Amino acid sequence: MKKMTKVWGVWSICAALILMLAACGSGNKETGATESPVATNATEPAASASNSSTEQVTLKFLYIWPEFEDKMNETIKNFEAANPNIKIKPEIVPWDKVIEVLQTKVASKQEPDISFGWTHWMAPFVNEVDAALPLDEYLNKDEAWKNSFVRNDLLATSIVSPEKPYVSNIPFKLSFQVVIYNKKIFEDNQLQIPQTLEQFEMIMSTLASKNIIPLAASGKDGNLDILKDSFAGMNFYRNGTATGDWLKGEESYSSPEYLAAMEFTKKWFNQGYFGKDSFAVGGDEVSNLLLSKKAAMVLGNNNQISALQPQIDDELGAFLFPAPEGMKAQAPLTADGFFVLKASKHPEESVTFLKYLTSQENQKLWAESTQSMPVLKDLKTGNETIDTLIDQVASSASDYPKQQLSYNPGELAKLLQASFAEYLLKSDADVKSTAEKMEKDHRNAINSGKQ
Amino acid sequence: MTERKTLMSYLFLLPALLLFVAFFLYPVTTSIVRSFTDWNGFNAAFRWVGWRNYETIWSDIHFWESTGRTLKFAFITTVAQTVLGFLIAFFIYSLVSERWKKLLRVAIYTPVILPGAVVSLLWVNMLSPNFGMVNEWLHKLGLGSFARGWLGDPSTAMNMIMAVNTWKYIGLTVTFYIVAMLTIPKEVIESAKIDGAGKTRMMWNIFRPLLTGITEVNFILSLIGGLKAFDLIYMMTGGGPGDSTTVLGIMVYRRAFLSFKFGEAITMGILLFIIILVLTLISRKLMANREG
Amino acid sequence: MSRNRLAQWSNYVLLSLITLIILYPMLYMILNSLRSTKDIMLFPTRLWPTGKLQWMNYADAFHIGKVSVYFLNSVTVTGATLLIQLIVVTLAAYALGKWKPPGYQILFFLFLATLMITSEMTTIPVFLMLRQFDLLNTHQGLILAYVGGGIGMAIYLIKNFVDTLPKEMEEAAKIDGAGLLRIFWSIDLPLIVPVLAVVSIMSFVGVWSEFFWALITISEDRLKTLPLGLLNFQSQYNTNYGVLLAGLTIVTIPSMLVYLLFSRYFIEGMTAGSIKG
Repeated sequence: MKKMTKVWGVWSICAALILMLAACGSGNKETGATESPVATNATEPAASASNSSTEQVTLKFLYIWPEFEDKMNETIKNFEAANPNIKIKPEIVPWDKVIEVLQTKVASKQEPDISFGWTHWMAPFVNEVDAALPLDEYLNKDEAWKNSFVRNDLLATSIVSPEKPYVSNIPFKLSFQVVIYNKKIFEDNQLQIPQTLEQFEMIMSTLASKNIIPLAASGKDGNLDILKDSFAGMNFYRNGTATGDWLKGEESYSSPEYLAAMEFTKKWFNQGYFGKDSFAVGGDEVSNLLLSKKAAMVLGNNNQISALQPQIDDELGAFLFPAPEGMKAQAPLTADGFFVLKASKHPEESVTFLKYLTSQENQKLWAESTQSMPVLKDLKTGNETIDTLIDQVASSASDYPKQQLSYNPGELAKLLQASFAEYLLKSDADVKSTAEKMEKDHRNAINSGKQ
Repeated sequence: MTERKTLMSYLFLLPALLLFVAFFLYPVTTSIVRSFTDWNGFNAAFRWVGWRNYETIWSDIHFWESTGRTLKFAFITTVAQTVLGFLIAFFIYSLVSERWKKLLRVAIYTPVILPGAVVSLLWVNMLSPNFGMVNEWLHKLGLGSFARGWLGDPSTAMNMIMAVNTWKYIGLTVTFYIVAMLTIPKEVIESAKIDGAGKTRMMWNIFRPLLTGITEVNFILSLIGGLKAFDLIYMMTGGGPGDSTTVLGIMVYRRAFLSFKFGEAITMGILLFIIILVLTLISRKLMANREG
Repeated sequence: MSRNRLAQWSNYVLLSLITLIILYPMLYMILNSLRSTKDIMLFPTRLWPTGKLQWMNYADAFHIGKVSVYFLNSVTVTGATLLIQLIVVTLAAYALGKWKPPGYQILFFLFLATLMITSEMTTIPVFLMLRQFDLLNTHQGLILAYVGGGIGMAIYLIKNFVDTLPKEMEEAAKIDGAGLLRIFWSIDLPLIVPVLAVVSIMSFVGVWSEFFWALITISEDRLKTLPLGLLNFQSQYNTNYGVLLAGLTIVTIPSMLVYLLFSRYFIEGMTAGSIKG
């Protein structure tokens, strides 16, 4: 008798706990319940799309900048005021987890309507996943919008492959590799901003002789690979072949131009121009080197400038990586942007939001308060360094490859990075065999992508 | 075995079994099926490809190199954590001062509590070639020639990560050992002391045999943890420099989230599972024999 | 006499050194959370904060990391997980270790096998399952996922411990006419408290600082747990280290307290009420 009571006692405690949880969580359940109709019901929203002007629509919006949450909320508020029938529900996700989170959301049909995406790296979202909505139709309907961007080919960088030749992403703010430098160190050593690669090299050897790290770069974070690729790109360009071809795998890593680029990088590496033990150093530490005045220049991103300046009392400047004598400096057109998910039930409204994000009013707001580089023509931030860069970008040669990749380069990039790192670190490494190894991995990736 | 006992047992096991089915049996079965497809992790649609994923992985040299590294990592950290853990636990156990005992017990467990993000942040910092504490102290102690870019040198990166991993998880091993040591009946210890056993003999001949149970637990847990290792390594070196620290955990992650070849990633997961399974079985067999 | 003293003394020096090495990162975290980010960036290796102590970091961490909201969420989720998990695994491990029903070896091995699986194999199916039952973006779903994920390790540990329980007291109680449940509740349960304490600590630490599942399951801001708040201090190009360390300290302190609280159950409580010494 007593034993049975014990059994029931135990189970009723369990039941009570579970009920308690269910009860205290019921408040949360409500929100859960309202989520599903939007995501799972297929027929209803289709009707509402045609009545979009009158019905209340809620758009889910994903972005990656917790540091700009206030600014984005302001943008959203302004937009909602001008478009009373549209509500935006934002969600912030860390930049290094955005792919995983998006993947999980798409796999479970919980995707947002509008999401952050790198304009120049839409391959993951367009090729395998096929999650991005083609935007050409909307652009063609609104010529003014289409032509408002700082470079006409900016939109084209989001075209991913010949099989899917559509614009998939609208850029929001420019993001590209620049050389950030300490103006005072330059002044103290009577150095000028280099206009050619040869001048750049001279500056570096001067700095090295004064025991200042010339160009701190993070081998760990792939800075050196980007550098090597741009050298290779310039070499190919010089010979008339666009960078895109060797990215596509139609050129070979074993071609003399590419080998030359690798050896050139290794030369600088061995001379310590990138700092000690570049592969042990991450992006943060590279910034540290600049801030503690141990390095004169760093390979960084334009978005870092405004973040770094307050932490150092010397003035910082930036310039584009120079091209060899006789060629125009390249500004790889890369940007942070947004795309509309194909599965969105409200594409019209989503595009309206995209238009607002890239409107004069909003771009001006962001440019002036966060010093992000706007994507529109003739818009300035008020910050001299950044405005100079904007001018340079607008007038630079555009040789950024229209990617047109038929496979996702994510893991391949890591493999190539690993091979190149080995080549740089081993003193007796053979450049030809490294190139062959990279070639093999690259071809494998293309072939497996074609299946 | 009475009927009552059987009934009670299954009743007791019911909730755990339900959870097992929901959170392991179902997902793993689904995944195994997916490993025979070209699923990319996103779309509901996928095609059956039979053994192709397995063939791809089997013939991929990167996979085998990575497996080698993973095995090395797992074995060294397991042995280090088990052996060192035992020694440290015994050391703490035999301390006379209660205060030191308490302090050390708490101290050694703190690395376990620290979030992985903190651990990697701090250690990357300390090992940095430009600002790192480790190099600074080496210079101060006159051992400057040893200073190097620890995590940037392919020959030392893996060793350092193994050291950090051991540092982080040894607290678990030590705690388990201490708890087990406390269950050793005092009479056994007393009679050994009367027999004139010194510290070393006590440890080797008395404690060690009595603790085989917990040694097995420690060994298995360390082994499994080591073979699956991902978080710490990914945060500290991302798999580099070169591919010197690219273990299987990292390869699976990259295959799934950088290449969107979830089918292949799951295949690697299954192969990894088989490796872990086989090694665990072997270890248990070996330890059971020793016990007998 | 003095040789003994010397040995003792050197012992203590060694101990202090070891303790320092082990505790160094934690001290670094706590002490540096009181420095400004600029200062940390310039002198990353300094341990002791110089200049004004930046208590502002904690205020910022509270505000930016929305600690007031997230903290309660974490407490709810972790507390509930711990409670449910303890009940489930204790019952299961006890049955497996003590009563050994037919098939117990296979079942035990199945639970052990759950530890050998990589998360990629379970993430999306589990996620889809939660969605199926409308459990996404809720605490219940998260708790369920945590409980489910942790049973393997817990059962493995507890069962091993149960294997070593002495039979004498059980025999005595049986003679007195006690049934299975009575033995479980009054005799054996108190004896396994130490291992339960260990499991509780491990579970607590695991769930409290868990990040990935919380990230993908919870998108509603008011339901987020503490580790997610830490994300607000980090951006792609700029990390506010002072505030980040303060945030990390806030996350770590409860784990520390739980350890201190629970560790008494497996250190001091050991000899109470048992036959041995």
